[in-house]
Amino acid sequence: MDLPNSNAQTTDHALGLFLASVELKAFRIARAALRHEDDALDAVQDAMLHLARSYAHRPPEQWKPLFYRILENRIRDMQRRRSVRNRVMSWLPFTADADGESDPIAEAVSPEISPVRRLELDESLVALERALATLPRRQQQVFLLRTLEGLDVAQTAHAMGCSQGSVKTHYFRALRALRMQLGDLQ
Amino acid sequence: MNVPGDDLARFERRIRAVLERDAGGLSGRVRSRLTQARHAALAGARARRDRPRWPLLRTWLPASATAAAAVAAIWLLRPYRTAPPPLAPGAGIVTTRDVQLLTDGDGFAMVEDGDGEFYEWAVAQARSKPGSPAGEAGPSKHDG
Repeated sequence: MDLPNSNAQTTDHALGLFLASVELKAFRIARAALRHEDDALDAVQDAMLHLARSYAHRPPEQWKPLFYRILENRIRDMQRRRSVRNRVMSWLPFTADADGESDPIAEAVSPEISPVRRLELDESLVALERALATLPRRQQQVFLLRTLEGLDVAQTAHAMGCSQGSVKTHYFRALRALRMQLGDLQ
Repeated sequence: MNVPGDDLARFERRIRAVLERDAGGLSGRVRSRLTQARHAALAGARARRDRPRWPLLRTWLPASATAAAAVAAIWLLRPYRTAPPPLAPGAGIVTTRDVQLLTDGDGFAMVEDGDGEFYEWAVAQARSKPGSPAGEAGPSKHDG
């Protein structure tokens, strides 16, 4: 019997199950931060690849915080890159229209949400997504990691690279802001 | 009476429920791309695991071992040579000045005769006429 091969197959199986369990939530967290479907998919894919290549040998209970830590870093990198790109593009004369108006498609908040999907979505969810989009990024990420992914305070702190006290503060502020915006969510 | 903490907790539960309701709302395209990403990640993990751990070591180890063995063989098979006996300080060193002293018959004669006068003169000549060689004036001494 080939024990190392058997162990490798077990790890592959466990890793596959883990990735399948987090991929949808991870995508939604990335989409909330990046507000772009393809960017969010890229971020999740990068995080999956990085985890599988560099941390697959770690115990499975460490995978979730590691995965979200990688995803968080990836989201931050993409946001920085986008910010630099926007700054550079704002200096170029040909980026604006002749009448000075910017491109509404490029500036759309959530281009991935089609009208058809909007109709399909629950009103509450649309309202929640809008409210989430107004939150500061750290609050938004902490809130989604805690609420959507169900990470505890310590795991969230590890994923976000901050203290547990910061996680509690961000989470409370996010919850209070959403409560103020949404009122009684049905 | 409503406690603010309870109110927030209830609100939190409602948000959780809304978010969980949306889990099935993603498009087929997104699901497909996520599945592809998962398979790519697993393939990446397999490829990394199957890769040899020390590829450079594997390449260079035989060559390095061969080279080390060759150097050791040359060192062991070199001709055996005994070291020369240690010399006393200054012993065995023959300079050109020594050879000249041995071969110079005039010098010996002057030393034997005790003729130090010649040397005094030569020194005096050299001091009075720095440009003229002492040997040129030598015969005049004997003439006078």
